[in-house]
Amino acid sequence: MRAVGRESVEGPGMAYERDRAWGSALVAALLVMLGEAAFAVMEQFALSIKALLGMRLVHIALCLGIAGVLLARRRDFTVQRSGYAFLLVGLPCFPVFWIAEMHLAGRGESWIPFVGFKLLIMGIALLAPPMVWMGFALMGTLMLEAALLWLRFDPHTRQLALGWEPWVTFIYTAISAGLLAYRARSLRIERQFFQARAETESLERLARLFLAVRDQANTPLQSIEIASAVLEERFPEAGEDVERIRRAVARLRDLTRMLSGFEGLMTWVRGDESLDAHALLERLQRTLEEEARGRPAGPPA
Amino acid sequence: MSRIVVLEDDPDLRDLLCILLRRGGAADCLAFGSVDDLKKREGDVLGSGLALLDVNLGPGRPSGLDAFHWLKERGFGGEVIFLTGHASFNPLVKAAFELPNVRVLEKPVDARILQALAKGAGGKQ
Repeated sequence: MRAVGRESVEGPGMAYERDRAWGSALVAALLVMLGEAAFAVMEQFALSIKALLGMRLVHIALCLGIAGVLLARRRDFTVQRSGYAFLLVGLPCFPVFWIAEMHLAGRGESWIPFVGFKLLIMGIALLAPPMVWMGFALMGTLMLEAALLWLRFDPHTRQLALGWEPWVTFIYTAISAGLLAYRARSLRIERQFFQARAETESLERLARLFLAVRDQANTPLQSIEIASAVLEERFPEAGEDVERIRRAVARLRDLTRMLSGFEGLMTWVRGDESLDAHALLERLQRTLEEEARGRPAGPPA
Repeated sequence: MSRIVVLEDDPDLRDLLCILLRRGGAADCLAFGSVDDLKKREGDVLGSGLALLDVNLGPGRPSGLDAFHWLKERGFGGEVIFLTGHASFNPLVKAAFELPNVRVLEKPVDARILQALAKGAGGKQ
């Protein structure tokens, strides 16, 4: 559990998921920046289109800014915010790719179409943050853009295209979608694991609490048991009252024995054998209160 | 009738145990709150017929098991009975159960059983 605000407490595994989403957004920003820089340099030799170069430079600046914000304000980035940062990194690729492909196709020379599309689609499959729908939406839109571009090319331009396009791009999209679906499944399993682990820990804490209560109760119960026996001997006329005390002790003894059933839920660790039961009870109470605050409110009674 | 040693960190229970055991027939009852206090009366302690040792004597303090080993090292010939209010999964309690020739009683123990111990202690000295 990790506190993210004054009153809120993160659920199990959320910190891990948040860190991973943040990392995905940062790596995406850095890789897109590098890719744009590489294409900008290569295009200077082949195309020399100022508008395209300008767009790529603006995109690089945007990625640099996003990476800077991600690094400077890491703690502010929730899974959702990191997802939007990822989206912001990817969106400018759509116009840049469109213009680049149109210029490459217009040169009248052989070329390999949709290289950037395929790179980006694979990158999304590997890096998309836990908002998986966003990854699928980006991939689908990229594939659609490639298809639209292909439809715009005249038959002669299509003949100049190398690499069995647009089918190869479609295959890339399908395989990448499979990869992303597998990642989504892994993420679900991880969430279930974190949830199960949190529940096990809660049960163990509860067992520890019950046993601490039991351990604390047994010594005073023993004192009452002995004191009542001594009183009975000293004051035989109080026998009936002492018997009532004995019955009450017997009921409490049964209760403490029932609490012993929780022993099996506990994993004993070194140092547990001589725990300060008072300190343990206080600590457990604080932990349970924190957990209760972090849990969503249940249905009204 | 024999002398009985009681090692218990709760002062009320310590006193009550001695009162009960004396009434049950013990010639004398030596009550200690810690292992260190017990060691200070080595001569009297080793001459006793029964030692009632609380297993857990508080966090960070020597336990009833430490007292047991000290007694055995010095050739204590009386009977040793452990009292515990803790879970049987507790490592100290488990260790006590594994010791040879000792009994472990879980609190709260019936007062009549404790008095019977006082009566039996004489023959085991």
